[in-house]
Amino acid sequence: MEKVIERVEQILLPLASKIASIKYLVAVRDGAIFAMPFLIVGSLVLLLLNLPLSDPNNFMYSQWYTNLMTEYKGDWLQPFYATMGIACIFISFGLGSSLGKQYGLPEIPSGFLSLFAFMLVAAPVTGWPPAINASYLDGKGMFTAIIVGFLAVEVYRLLVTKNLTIKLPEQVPPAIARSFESLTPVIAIILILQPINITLSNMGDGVLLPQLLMDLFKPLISASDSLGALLFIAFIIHLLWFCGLHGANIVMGVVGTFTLTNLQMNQEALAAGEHLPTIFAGGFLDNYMNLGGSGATLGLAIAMAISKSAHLKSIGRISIVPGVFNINEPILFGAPIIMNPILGIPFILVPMINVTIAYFATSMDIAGRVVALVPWTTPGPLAAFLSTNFNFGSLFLALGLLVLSTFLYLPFLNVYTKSLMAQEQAERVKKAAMNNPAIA
Amino acid sequence: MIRIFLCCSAGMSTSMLVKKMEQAAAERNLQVEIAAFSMADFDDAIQKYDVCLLGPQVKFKLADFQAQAAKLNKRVEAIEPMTYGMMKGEVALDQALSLLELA
Repeated sequence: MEKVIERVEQILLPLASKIASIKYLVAVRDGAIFAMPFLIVGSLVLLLLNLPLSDPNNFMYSQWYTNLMTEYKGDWLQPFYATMGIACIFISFGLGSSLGKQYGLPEIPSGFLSLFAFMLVAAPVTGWPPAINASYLDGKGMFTAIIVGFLAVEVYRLLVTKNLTIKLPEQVPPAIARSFESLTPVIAIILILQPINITLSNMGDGVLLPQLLMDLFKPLISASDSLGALLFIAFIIHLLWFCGLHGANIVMGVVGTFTLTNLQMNQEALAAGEHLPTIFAGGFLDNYMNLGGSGATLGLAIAMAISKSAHLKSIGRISIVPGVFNINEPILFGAPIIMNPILGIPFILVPMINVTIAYFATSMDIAGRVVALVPWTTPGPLAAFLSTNFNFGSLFLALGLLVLSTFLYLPFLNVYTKSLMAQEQAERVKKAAMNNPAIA
Repeated sequence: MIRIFLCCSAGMSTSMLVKKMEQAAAERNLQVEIAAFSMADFDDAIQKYDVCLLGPQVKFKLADFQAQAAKLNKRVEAIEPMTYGMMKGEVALDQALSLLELA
């Protein structure tokens, strides 16, 4: 067994560390992390303004809420537009500054150059007084923000490393000279992107780059919202975790780009009062797969806490409370599940079963679709309830999956407990024999 | 004052071990400051702290972080999986201290 672990580690560790050090992936993840507080609060505002209380067909229908919303809804939409509505402004600045920092460039100028490039292509200004068309500053601008943000920082890096900045005579005070140094990247970005803008606007009815990129990525986005994609992602995350590597941390940078775009489509439909289009949106995996952390281990933690094996009992006990908040490293490394062939089987299979059931329940509208972001540390069933605009179907689905995952783990836990108890018994006999040589 | 920091994906699970290490340090009457950070905060944290222990689940960043720490003449090591899982504060504290003595 030791040898197998060593082999797997030799292969996977360099691979994972290569993926984890891809600067672009780190930048996208950092961008999303910077934006997260705004997006979470913004989507809660959207929820509060669209509670299912004003639908006369809903049993929770309430007159006072309906009246309140007719009166004041308009007054409170601005906080939503200034957060979720311009999500890509936060993301664009965040990913630019992160990429710049990784290249050893000044962070804030890198962030602003990225934001500038994004605004140049995604925020056309029209009319007088000038008004910005903000329709692509929300999640729909994700791919554009990423692509032009990388472009902007790469241009900046190229100009700095090639020393192509405006130089002034030595008599000019250094502070002023520096302010001229950052002119060239701005000019270069304009020269690259503005011709693209002009070309696109002259084509037929005129399109925006973000519109074009969304159409281009459409097949990929709709492919992401499928059972196949969910199963693949669940499998990869848990296989990596089984090998002792933080699976979610490694893959969520890419996955998050899609779930955020999908979430945007649902939020737009919610605001417009239409049927929500996407399933794999926002925290779908947190709602139904990560119940107690990767591998849906909350039920397992409880079962371990009442185990007959002293080792499992102590691990189970320290794991329950963090598990409620989806943190389960003690169980993963302590039980252990990592590199444990017995517990590893359900650890990889249970999440795949969970996402399959959740996918079908959601596609048949038994459970609601995700319209809001909640922190990933929110207990699973509560996260499911909140993020789907207080959908009881989602709440019961998450609770049901929690119970199901516990039962799926139990037979494997029993086998493992027996083998551990035999070991513990052998150790006790050995100890007793050492204390009392007469028995031996 | 010895300053130790632990680092993992979000600094959540390492913060549990921090508590156990603080208890272990208090029992020994050691003057230590121990904190947990996310990987994104590593750059800043390594400037201020003397030594870093890495959660085993983010071991894939070890080589990268060691290279950065070496520039400051500081050391980084990953925590043993079992020590981490059992939340053995004593053992982790010893590991941090041994890194400092060798530095």
